Amino acid sequence: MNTDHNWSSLDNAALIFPAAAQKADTQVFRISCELYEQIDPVSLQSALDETIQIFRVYQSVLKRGFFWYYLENTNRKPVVHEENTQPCAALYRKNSKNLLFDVSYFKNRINLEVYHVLSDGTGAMHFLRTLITKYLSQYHQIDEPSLDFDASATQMSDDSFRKYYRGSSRKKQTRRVFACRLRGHKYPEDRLKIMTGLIKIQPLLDAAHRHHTTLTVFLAACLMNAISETVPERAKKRPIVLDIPVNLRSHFPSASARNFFSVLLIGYDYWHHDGTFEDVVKKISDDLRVGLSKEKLSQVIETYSAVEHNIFARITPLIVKDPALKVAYHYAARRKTAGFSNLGIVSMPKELEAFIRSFDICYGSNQLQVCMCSFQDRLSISFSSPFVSSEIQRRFFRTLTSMGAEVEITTSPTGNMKEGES
Amino acid sequence: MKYCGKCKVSIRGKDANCPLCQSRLSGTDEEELYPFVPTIYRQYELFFKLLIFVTIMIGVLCVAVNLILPDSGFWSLFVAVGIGCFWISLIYALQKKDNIPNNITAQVFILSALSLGWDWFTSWRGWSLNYVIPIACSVAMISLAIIAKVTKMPAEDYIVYFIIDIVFGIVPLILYFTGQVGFIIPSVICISLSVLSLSALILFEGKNVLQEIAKNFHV
Ligand SMILES: [Zn+2]
Repeated sequence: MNTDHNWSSLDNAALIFPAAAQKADTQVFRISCELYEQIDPVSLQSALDETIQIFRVYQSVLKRGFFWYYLENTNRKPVVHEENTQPCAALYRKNSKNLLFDVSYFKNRINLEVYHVLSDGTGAMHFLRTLITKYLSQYHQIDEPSLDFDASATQMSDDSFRKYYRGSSRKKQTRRVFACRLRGHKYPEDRLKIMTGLIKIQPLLDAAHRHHTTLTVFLAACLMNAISETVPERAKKRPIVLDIPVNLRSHFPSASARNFFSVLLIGYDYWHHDGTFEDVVKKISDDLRVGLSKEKLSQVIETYSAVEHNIFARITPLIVKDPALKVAYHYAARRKTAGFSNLGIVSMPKELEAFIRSFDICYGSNQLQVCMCSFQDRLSISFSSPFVSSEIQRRFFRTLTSMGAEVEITTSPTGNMKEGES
Repeated sequence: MKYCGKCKVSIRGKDANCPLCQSRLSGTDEEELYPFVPTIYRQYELFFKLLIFVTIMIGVLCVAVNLILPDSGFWSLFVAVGIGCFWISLIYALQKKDNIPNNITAQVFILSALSLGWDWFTSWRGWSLNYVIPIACSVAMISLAIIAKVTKMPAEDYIVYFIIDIVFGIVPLILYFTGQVGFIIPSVICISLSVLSLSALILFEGKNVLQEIAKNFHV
């Protein structure tokens, strides 16, 4: 509603986040970039200072208004520091005015952690790529190569939901059934286990082509089957549903560095269907094709925006709205079994590629979440999970290795047991 | 790099067992890839255990002495309630540790409520209304002003003071006019402080306060 002052309202996708944030579901995602050399904090800080000049929208804090949460510009400067928290630890704390993103380093790795209210993965990836480009060219004294996107500050702080909202009457959404949910022992203090597999992409592409499908669909099917083999038979009375975020920028032109995504719920009913790999692949690719049609996506934008344009929703005080949004969020969470998101190919300027080992992304939620992105010839797949058991991860990665993929796994320590303890 | 023969995957880091299947890994250790982060409870564990133990000890001691000397009345009950008040206050302070103005306001409310309750159950002598509430409000207002100056609190926080100052002024004012207050000096001081800080706020920070209200109440 208002972006010409020193504050702006949240975009539609972000409206629900602050209400439902909690220790176990931090809604923070981390994008890391691993180099082949140790990180120099001084150069990183100066690169960050330059980057924040471009991404002014990141320099804001989240505040509670009487009716809505809003983002307020601040003079607070981001400071790089050595990594000292769990991956995806909470960034937004009520009553404290800290920035909603954080840049840290550990040995060869640079981490960018972002609270989802501020931006989605694509927006944050632009930020990280800019930061890494500036860092590497400063550190190695190379002329700074230009990145493949350019946008004005206004374009980046744009709320694209508002731009594409037409206010047309929307069709009634089809009712969704509850999904099969994962259960099990969790780590204490809401810790997450992050397990990242770095995989040569070519064998996977070959395998996907053998099944006449895309890499995303192929991996989603592998994940779904891994889940189906792990959960108890009885739990499969409910469909296994993957929550797949869609980057709306590739369907509606936008250079927004804020949120502009929607989610598709893709489910497979193992109770009534045979669950052969071919059948799962077919169901997923059919559902994706329908879900990604322009018409369907426009409908989603209308639905997202309708809440904000609804007069009753607008004049209800936040103190009443908060619990209602919380219920809605948990209700929505019950309709998915796990999250599955593919950020796609990360490209960096040619002259800098030789310094970079890999990129990876993970998301902090209280459900199993799989995030992936690829850099050069390798794909990184990160499982973030609050559960102690790693059965699903084992089945998933073993499926890939059985097809000839080389997998290299990194696991974050979970604190309750030191290494070597079994 | 390490290797799990069963899963046929390479494992980075120092793990002795496969993170997927827990079987022994072959190969040599690598450098750690993540920092070790101790759990929060572990960091302050001993401090809190000691604090809890000390308060329990005081409580038990008082009850025991009281039982041995039954003629001295039920004074140990007050000690127990006092310990309860201390913990309520401390837990709240820890939860809101990031926001000092908010914390001060909350402590005033807790203190007022507790003193009212205490006064009520001990044959209502009115000391909570006469002294505790106005003095707590005055101290809070003065300390808020000092903190704001010392920490150079940004203008966006002034809305907090605005509301606090109104409340701190109105409550003693109502009590004063309804004749609840016997000894009026603390209340009068408190009301004057409120009016003074309110007018200073409007005169010197009026624009910021207005902007703050606009942000807070956008529909
Ligand atoms: Zn193994």
